[in-house]
Amino acid sequence: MMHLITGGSASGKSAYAEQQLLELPSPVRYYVATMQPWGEEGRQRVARHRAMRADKQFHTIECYSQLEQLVLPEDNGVLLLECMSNLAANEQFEVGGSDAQICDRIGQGIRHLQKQTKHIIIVTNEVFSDGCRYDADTERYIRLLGQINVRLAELADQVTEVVYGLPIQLK
Amino acid sequence: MILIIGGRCQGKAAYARRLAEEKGYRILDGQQEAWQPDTKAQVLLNVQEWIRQAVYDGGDLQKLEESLFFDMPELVTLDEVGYGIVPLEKKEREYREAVGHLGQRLAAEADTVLRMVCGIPTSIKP
Repeated sequence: MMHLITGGSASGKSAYAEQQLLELPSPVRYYVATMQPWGEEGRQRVARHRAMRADKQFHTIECYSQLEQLVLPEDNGVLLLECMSNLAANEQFEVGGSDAQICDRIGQGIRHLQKQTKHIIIVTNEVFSDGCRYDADTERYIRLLGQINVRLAELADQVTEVVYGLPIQLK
Repeated sequence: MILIIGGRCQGKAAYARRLAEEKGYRILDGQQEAWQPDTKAQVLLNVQEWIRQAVYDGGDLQKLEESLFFDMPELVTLDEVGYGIVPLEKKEREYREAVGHLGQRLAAEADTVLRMVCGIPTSIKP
């Protein structure tokens, strides 16, 4: 099973995703964190999310890129990946490659995690509707994340958009 | 008329192209071609791009809108652009306003409005 959860910044998608993970029956719940905590703001953000998860007994794994190489300690658990928007940025700006290569690598990484788990939840982000134009790298990032989201939604069994904490089922 | 809206890169054009192919419709895409008032295309993709060109080249927005509506297209895709901070640049504000107002007009005329998120269409009209 694969569940894709999207939404804007601070829409409540993380809290919703974590609740979904908690409701799945499993002895082990993995939380794959993809954000590299740059600077003070990054550290505070990570600390805030860690505090939110403190009593949920998730097994946190930090993986900033190349999911296809991630080996989980145990098979058949459930897993939450947060968040695709950070992973895509890390893949684009640090690992590199063409759009197709990056999309394929992320696709492979997700399939690799699916093989090791019985249920995977992926959080992504809506960054597509502000009407602004940006520098070439940012334009490319927006295009890339859009493509990744469309592809993940095709693969997913369930797709949810969270709007201010309210889950809207798209698929 | 079917109007397909949504953020950038959500698969609107790909979806519209599939529908157009089934029906053998002629397509005009704002990302690939300039606006041609005399073109009889039943499918207009990325209409926001013609608005952007009109705003930046000093084209006549009203004329563009009139010609868009003169022969009502069967299928239109338009970006949603209003979910951000008001832009500092005047032309960008004009662009955003014009796209928003055109979207309202198209949605009012449309029989069906689909909103695309992650490649998945949700019907918001009827």
